[in-house]
Amino acid sequence: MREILKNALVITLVTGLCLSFVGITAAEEPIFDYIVVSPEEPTRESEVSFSVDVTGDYIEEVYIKVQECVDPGTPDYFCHQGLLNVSLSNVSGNWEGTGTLQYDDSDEGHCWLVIKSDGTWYDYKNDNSTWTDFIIAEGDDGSDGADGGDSTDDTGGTPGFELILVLISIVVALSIYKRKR
Amino acid sequence: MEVKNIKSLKTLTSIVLLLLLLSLLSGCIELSTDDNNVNDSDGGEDFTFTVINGTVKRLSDYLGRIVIMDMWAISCEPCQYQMLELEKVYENYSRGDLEIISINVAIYETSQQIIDFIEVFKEFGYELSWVFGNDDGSIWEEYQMPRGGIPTIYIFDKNGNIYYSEESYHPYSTLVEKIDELLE
Repeated sequence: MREILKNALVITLVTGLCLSFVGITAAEEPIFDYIVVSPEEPTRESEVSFSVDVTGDYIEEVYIKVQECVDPGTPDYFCHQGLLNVSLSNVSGNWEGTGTLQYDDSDEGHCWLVIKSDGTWYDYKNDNSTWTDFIIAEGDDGSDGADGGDSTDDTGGTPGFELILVLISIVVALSIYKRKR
Repeated sequence: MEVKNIKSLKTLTSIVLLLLLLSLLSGCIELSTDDNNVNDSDGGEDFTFTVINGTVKRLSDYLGRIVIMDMWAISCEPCQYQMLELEKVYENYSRGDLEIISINVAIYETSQQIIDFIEVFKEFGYELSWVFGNDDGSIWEEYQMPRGGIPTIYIFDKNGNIYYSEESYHPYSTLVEKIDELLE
């Protein structure tokens, strides 16, 4: 009888320990609500606010990753490879942050959560519960903002252009020098 | 005074020539260090990438076959649709004619995540059984299209020359059209 009681006690203790361990592990996994995007339909290259309710005992960092895409639902559908990374701060239990959309041709944004909890990173990019889509509007003036973005890219993306300018300057300087003589 | 002017003109000319020589030389140095993505002497493209099983491969390993290079990322929705089209293409051509290389250009996405991604497709009955690799950033730098979009599709002919490139989702019909043009 004593032996049976002893065994029962051991089994109960081991089971209890296992269950408490599982409980602790489960507590580490963050629990979150859906992402709120504000405004609901931001314009291209505009500032967007994100907020999400994340709960957990060991939440250290929360980020929203935003991928901007072009022409959804058409054969020309593609997404920009560069992601917007928005760091969120804990404002009385709610995680909030703002970021500026990066591209002048986007029509749609996809965002999801990345959370650091108890030293572990959780990337929810393939999790339907955090994946949020929002429309990106062209802008009130109807312009696609291409002027600004393109001009910056062109300046940086034309290697050798500066060299031509330098060479022209040298030639001009030499001719002026010669004339003075 | 005249001699002094000639001397200073000579010095100026030497400086200009030296500067020109230096700029030309720096261009050569830059070319020689960029050995990951190069054009072969016969004009074919080449680059290296790491397959998700850890082995290192080159585009030139697939010479003699048409190669579709699909630059993608797990987070990209049209890239996921692209996989379904590529699967149909892969099923309909022999391995002697065609190989597909899907290069994940999001350097923050790991090989394990790619393996999990392939596994999810398998659960839904889609076998993504072609070559999946990771980019260290150099392939994207060399081959990204003007708008920096994914999926980006490159089709290389049997000699490794670029036959077609475009950034956007490609339906099966478009891909087949290009491949058949090359096979004719």
